[in-house]
Amino acid sequence: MPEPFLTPGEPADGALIARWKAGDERAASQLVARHAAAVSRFVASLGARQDVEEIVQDTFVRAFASLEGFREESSFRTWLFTIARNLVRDRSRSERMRRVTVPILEEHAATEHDALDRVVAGETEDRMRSAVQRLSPTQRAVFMLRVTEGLSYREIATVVGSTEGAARVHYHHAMRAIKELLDD
Amino acid sequence: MTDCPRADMRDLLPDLMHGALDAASRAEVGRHVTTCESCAQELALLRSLRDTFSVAPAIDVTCIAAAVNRARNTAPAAGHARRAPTGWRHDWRIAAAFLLAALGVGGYTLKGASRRSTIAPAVQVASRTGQSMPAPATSRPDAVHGTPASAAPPPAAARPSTAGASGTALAAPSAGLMLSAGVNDLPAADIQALLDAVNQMDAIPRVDPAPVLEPAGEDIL
Repeated sequence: MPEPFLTPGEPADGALIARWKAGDERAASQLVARHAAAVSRFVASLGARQDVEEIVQDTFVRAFASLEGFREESSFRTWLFTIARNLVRDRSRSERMRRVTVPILEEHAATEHDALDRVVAGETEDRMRSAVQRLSPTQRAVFMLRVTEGLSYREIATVVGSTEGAARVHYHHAMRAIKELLDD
Repeated sequence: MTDCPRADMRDLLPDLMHGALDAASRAEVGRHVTTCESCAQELALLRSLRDTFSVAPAIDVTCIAAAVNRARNTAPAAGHARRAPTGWRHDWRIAAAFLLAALGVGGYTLKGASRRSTIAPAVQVASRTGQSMPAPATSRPDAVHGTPASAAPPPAAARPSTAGASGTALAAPSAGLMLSAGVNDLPAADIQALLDAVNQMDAIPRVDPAPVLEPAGEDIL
């Protein structure tokens, strides 16, 4: 599987994984440096703005801890996306459960808005972000993986646990919804 | 913004944007985009979206790499750390274990109570039927609780010979079973009758228990 994010001469993920398994801790640093930005971007796009770093770290710790089970049927980055998405989903579920008994305080809501406002840099960007945030979680994940990370439908299907055709349909539905929201 | 009818071309626009197409496909899609206003607009929108979301939140890569290596060096601790986010699953298992234990203890206590108090409904039934006192469960606890009798079957001469005696003898295990199943399962009238029987236990003169016999081969459960 091609790794378009590699520059010529850089070792492939598989080689770094083998080195890390052999005890080379620097290989982990290289792999983290190579993929951390994409994973954090993906995690943030799924709506987990507050705990991005924690989720990204947990993603890498879990991925490396279970490297024995990684068969390289997908790319290492796709595997990271899959773990990250599952972590975000688990966290969202537990947060929903907590919301049943713990009311959201006003200052928390205000903080979230402030953080969002800091990220938004203009009206157009604001509208784009709003449009993407209105997508369903699966549509959003598919769309962001396709547009910002350039994954193929097959890789996206691996991440979101669907078929290639379903990923394609999700992408086109998301694209249509975004166009409609931007045209309003 | 209208959609281009060439879905195959629209499918490849993100790949064109990311430079993931081979030369032939890139040339074909590129030619299409130059002649299709819808696809050109969609490609521009895709580029805007990518630029908007391309900024990654700041994270400490060194810290993450250190955590990865630390987790390997302390494998058991890493295992605990992995399970931490899903700890609530263990919480409900623990709660379920406590609930089952409580039910078990409660059921055992209830059975014990029924074993001790089986004489009361038996006396009540006997008093209703006007017959002699049937056997209490204490002589045959397995009959009360429905477990198969492990002792040798009683001699035929000891079996009740009249229908009335047989019916009375069966009444005691039935009452015991009802207690074992749970007081809440009883109708209100029966609960009241049991409470009355319990209240009158001290008032009722105790009689020596006679053996409780059950029909041969009949499982009371």
